[in-house]
Amino acid sequence: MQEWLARRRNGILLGVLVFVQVLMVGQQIQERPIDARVRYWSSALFMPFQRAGQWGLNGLSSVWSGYVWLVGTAAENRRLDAEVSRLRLENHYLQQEVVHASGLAGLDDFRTSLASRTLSARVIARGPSRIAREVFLDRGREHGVRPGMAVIVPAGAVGKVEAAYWASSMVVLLSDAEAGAGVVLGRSGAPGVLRGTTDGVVSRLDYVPPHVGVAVGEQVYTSGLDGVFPPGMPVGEVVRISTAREMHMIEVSLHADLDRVREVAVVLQAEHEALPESVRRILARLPAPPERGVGDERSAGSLDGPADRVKRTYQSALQAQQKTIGLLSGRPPNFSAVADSLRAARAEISGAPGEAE
Amino acid sequence: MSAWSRAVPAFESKRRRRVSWPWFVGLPTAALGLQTLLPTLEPTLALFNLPFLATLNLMLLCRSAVSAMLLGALIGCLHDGLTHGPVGLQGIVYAVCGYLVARLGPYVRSDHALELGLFFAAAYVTHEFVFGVTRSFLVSAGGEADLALGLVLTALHAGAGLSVFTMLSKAGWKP
Repeated sequence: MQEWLARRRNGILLGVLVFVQVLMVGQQIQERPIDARVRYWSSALFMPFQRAGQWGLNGLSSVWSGYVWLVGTAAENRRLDAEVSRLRLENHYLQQEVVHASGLAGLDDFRTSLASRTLSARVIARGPSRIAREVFLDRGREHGVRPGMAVIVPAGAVGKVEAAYWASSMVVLLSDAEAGAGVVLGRSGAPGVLRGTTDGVVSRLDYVPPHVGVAVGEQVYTSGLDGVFPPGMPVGEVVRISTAREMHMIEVSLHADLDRVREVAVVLQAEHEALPESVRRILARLPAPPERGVGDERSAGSLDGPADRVKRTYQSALQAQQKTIGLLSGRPPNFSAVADSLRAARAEISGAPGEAE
Repeated sequence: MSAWSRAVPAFESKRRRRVSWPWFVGLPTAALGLQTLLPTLEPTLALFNLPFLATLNLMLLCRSAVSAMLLGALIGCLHDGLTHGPVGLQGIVYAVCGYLVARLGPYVRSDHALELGLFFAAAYVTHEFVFGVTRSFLVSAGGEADLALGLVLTALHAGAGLSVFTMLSKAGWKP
């Protein structure tokens, strides 16, 4: 037996390793927190080095491009001379605009122009996998970043915070095959779901109703229906449409260059952004929402509806019998004493008094 | 001699060279760190799988299936920890690759560049295949295979693997 084990120890170890990791994957599918722990420790191990590495690489990069890699400098000098003479004709205001249009200054201007409350962050690392597209930001829980928050740049939506650690966070980019965003087409106002693709070059726009006319070049905006991105943010442009089996196959080119994104804004509190004129025109044509009656509890300022009363009735019955839902001890709670009030509340919900049963 | 040590093939015992543990774990970990850092400068560098190349070379150098599989599982889990996918997928793939490298590595002549290059190419193809199958079976996530890109990446990884092996050999690490 011992010799058999010794002969097959490598195979046995491989089997054990694979089995343990299959169990780990299974646990994560059931949303157990094992992957969160591994992710936390992986991030804690790498992110301080990534932060320092990013700082060093930026320095090296500027030294390289400024002092070492000077190929084409003479040609660039000639071009710049010509450009300087042209720039002299431009006024001071435009020069300031050019300066502010790039980098963090541009991001700050963008942030102040937004209705949503945002936080600027810098990309310090990217995901190690070729097919999974995620980036790590230098802002985390201590800065108010939480999972589920939207990440944007002036050009458009970037992605969603997947995990927030103490001083860093992981963002899944919109180009990832598992990412998605609720969007609306700029011209028709038709809703759809934007999904990433495995190649990450273009995204796919799904669930656009087949009767809606879509044109190449049409702009795509966030709809806000996903509860992540603030509505009205530019996302991309329709680049290709094909129709098969009465379904639109729409490809969208994202405005934001997700492969080269360096500075981003994390949306801490989303507000509705100003909608483009085309969408506003469509909304103006829609009928106004129905007026609520005078006796309507919600219009009177109270949020207490019949469903709340059902819940309260159950809770009071449980309290009276000193029972707790979810605990398997003793006899089950008896709700027959409150049956009448429950019946009345249910009838009120269904809108037909006396016919609820 | 115990039964465990008798189980090690003779050629492995003769040719095995110890790689110290800090290097054994530190090098692939550093490669993983570099893999997350370099694409921020140049996105095309994301096509390389540096942690896999580093791990593969060390698996080849250590010639111990147990060490290779344990290292593979560890680096694979760390690799997964830096993505939003399930943790364990790369661990399985790296462990399987570690097992295969430890089994087949001794038959590869380390002074024969073509043989080594083919070995690295085969290892990369195996990695991609096992990853695709595992991902498809365990998390039902599919992907479109791009044959041209796959061939280019295989050639690139074979060349890069060979370069890393040459560097490690020059540093005195030989199987």
